[in-house]
Amino acid sequence: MDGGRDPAAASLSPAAGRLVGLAVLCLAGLLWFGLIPAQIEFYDQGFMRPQTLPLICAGGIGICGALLVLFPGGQMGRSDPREVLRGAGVLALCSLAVWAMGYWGFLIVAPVLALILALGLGERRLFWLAIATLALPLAIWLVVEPLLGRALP
Amino acid sequence: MPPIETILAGFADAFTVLNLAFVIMGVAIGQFVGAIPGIGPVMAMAIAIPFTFSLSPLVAISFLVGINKGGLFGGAIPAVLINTPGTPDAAATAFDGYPLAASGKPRKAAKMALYASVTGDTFSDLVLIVASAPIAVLALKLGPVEICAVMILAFAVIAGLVGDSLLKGLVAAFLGLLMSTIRLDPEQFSPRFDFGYFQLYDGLDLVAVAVGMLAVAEIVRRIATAGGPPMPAATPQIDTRAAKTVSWAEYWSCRGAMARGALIGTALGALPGIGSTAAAFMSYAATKRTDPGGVPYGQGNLKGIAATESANSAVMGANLIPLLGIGIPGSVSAALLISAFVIHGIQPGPLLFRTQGELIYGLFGAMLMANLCNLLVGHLSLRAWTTAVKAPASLIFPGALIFCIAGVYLSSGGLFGVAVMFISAAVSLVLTGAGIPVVVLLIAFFLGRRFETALSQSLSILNGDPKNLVQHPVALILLALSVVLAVWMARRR
Amino acid sequence: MKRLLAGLAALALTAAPALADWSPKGPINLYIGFGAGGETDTLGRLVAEEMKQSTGWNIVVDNKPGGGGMAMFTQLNKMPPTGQFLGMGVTMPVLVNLTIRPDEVPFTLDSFTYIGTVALAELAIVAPADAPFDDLAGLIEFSKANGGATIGFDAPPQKLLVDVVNAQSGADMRLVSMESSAEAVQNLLGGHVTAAFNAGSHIPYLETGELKMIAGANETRPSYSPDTPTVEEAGFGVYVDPWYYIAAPKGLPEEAQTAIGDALKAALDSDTVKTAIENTMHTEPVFKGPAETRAMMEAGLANVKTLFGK
Repeated sequence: MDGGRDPAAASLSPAAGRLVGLAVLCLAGLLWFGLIPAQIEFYDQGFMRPQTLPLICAGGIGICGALLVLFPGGQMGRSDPREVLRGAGVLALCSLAVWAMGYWGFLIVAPVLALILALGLGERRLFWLAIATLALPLAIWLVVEPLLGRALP
Repeated sequence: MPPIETILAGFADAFTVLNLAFVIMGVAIGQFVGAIPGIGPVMAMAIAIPFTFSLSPLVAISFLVGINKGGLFGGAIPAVLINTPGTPDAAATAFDGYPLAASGKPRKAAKMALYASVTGDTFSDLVLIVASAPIAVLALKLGPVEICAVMILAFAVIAGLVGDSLLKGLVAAFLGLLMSTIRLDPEQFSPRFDFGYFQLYDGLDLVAVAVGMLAVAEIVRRIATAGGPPMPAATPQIDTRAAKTVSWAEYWSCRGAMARGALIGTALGALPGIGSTAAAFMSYAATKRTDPGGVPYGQGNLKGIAATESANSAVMGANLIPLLGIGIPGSVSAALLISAFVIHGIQPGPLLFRTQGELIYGLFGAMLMANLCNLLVGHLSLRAWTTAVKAPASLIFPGALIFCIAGVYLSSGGLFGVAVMFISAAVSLVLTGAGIPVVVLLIAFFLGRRFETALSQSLSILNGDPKNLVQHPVALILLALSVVLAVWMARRR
Repeated sequence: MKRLLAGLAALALTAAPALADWSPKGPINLYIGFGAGGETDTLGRLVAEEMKQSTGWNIVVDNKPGGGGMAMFTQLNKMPPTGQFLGMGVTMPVLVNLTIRPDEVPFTLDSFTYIGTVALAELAIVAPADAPFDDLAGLIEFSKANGGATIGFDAPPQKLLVDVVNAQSGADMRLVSMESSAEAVQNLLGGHVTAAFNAGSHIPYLETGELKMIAGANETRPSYSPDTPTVEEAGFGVYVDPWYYIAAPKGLPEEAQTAIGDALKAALDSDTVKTAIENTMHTEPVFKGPAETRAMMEAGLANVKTLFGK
């Protein structure tokens, strides 16, 4: 976005650019032939029908994808495989946390999540670990539940 | 215009110590919650309303106004300091605010945001106070066809923000529009992309998506790239006066950006449903294209910060124009003010000005007072926050993530919203990896819902015949302007 | 803040002890089927606050938005019938979904024990005061003479009602989708639509003389304008009655149902709630007891089926 604020953004190799275009084209195909017919009831009356805008968008994405295959351009974010893996791990952990919160609640899951992330960031000092995992979630819980009278999971 | 005695009495009611205390408290709360991703000022107002039961109407409303105005600046704080906007409308503040902060000048960046926010806010408040009735009547004349044209104009201006690949920008815009169609369609009310979840009937929660794509994505990126021994979350600050303050000369050099921002914010604020995020991006794009100079945009240009913050804050005052002018709430926060009126037994509506003149001028007094308090409290709170981000990254990022979870849970009504937030974060990271601009997607997503409805309304009013556009000259002018702007911007690229 | 806290403490102290012989074994969760700040939310919180004060029960209000209350009722359906879980919603979205996509809805009318109604949203068709017609017949004539009038609406039943009128009269009115009542009023005042449905935000403008009533859309005439005939009276045989109501999961013990119902009735009788409802909704609170509410739901479902031609 905006001239690549990420200083490490790499200029794109044509092959990788074509790959992005191909992925975008596949997405459009999936939308047009799969998701849109499956998830939208088509109507044949009215001005803006339920399917009108989604089909326009899918078509637009498809055309842009095809053009990207022919004329690759733009930049790519950097992608060090180790970092991609770590990022995916963090997101997987978060999804697990959302699921767990439904069962055990915020007060139990949030400190565990914070503890794992803080340890993953290399923190070993007890003082900071205690603040991140105990003080902060507890403070949030105290403000929301007793003080504001709203419910957390 | 009510008699001068009513006006003076209203202002006198506003300037009391009790009122001042509540405004300061409101501003402080607003700045705090604004800074926390997920809980914006709107959420804070909704939570605060029941607590205002025991207060007098003016004190209650001043308190709420304080929260709202504090939140306008609060969102910019984390955007500038750690590149995670607290509210969606501060996303563009991060473009130049964060690079400036990362170069060791976080206080300068945050102060510029503060001054621009207060400037834009004060401008739109003055417009509201002086001219709400005529502007409201004028805005009333702009129907769905004209609103549709305004949105097309907004798209044309924001297109200037698309990075170096027009194609990827278009992909992002179409994806954003497509995401906005996850909801009941506006004509048949038939569910689309609901996958069996009733929660999706109302569409993806705007806050959950924005916080996920901007704040959570950035937090995950930071956690993923961190390595080695524990580090402070922010770059060390340069300890000179020039690096910590905004000089008058620097402020004055941004006058064009702030004027543009204040005008765009006020104009879009007076029209219901377009919102402060679009205003902020429009102003940033316009300033970037027309007002170069100094540091390049995206690398810490003060004008970028000034343009964004003046515009998003100007929307707030202008949002009250339809409310006070004709009795119709122009935004969620205006609707919340109405429910505060109602709780105190005040009947909102077209007669508000006539029957409650003193209260309304009291409200105006409180708004101006809140702007001043925003400035004063803002200095303290940005000092506190710049100190707080000196804490190790191992506290800041997991902590921020917990805040995001709690905030989105509260504002979107459940774990479903939290799940949407994390999915959005994942999508955002993948798209960024492929070089597709996420911010463009977000803007299209924010505008998409209103745009589809406005298109449907317009087509019905025009009976599907473009020839009927002749009866809407204003819309025709706006459409022509959009074409001119799009061509002009494309040629300047 | 001190004053605020003091005020809250005072509220807690003055709360009277429970009068009924049933009392909940913990906090009562009142789910609201809509987001914070809307009409249902305001209504629910007002009623909950009043019930809290009169009974001493700890009532926690929780917003569960999604699908006009469908997401909330789906969740409520999974909760135990201990009286600690209540849900407040509006009849129309529930009845419409039960009618047109019964297979996708994980509950039926029988899945709940009904506590009572809170209020009826009074729906009307309104037009700018200077419109060249004064009733539904006039609107139909106007539409025929001008190539189709435009009608603002914001929910499926309103669309169906217009479809019925169009089919029977050949009026050929065109619907314009609105996202809220406020937006409809705005479009009326700006002259962008010929007429529009509205459920209350138009009333102040009747008083200022900027808008006028064309027809009522409920089964009965609007309480604030008893001289306006309804669409049904005009000979089209259809109406729309959106009720705000409170329900609990099926199997709620009878003493709990009675106790909560009595508390709700008392809350709706109080002046604070009455005034607040009049101010927000421009209508009076109407309490129907459990049996009546249940009957109203059944009748409503039958009516929606007629509307949808099923």
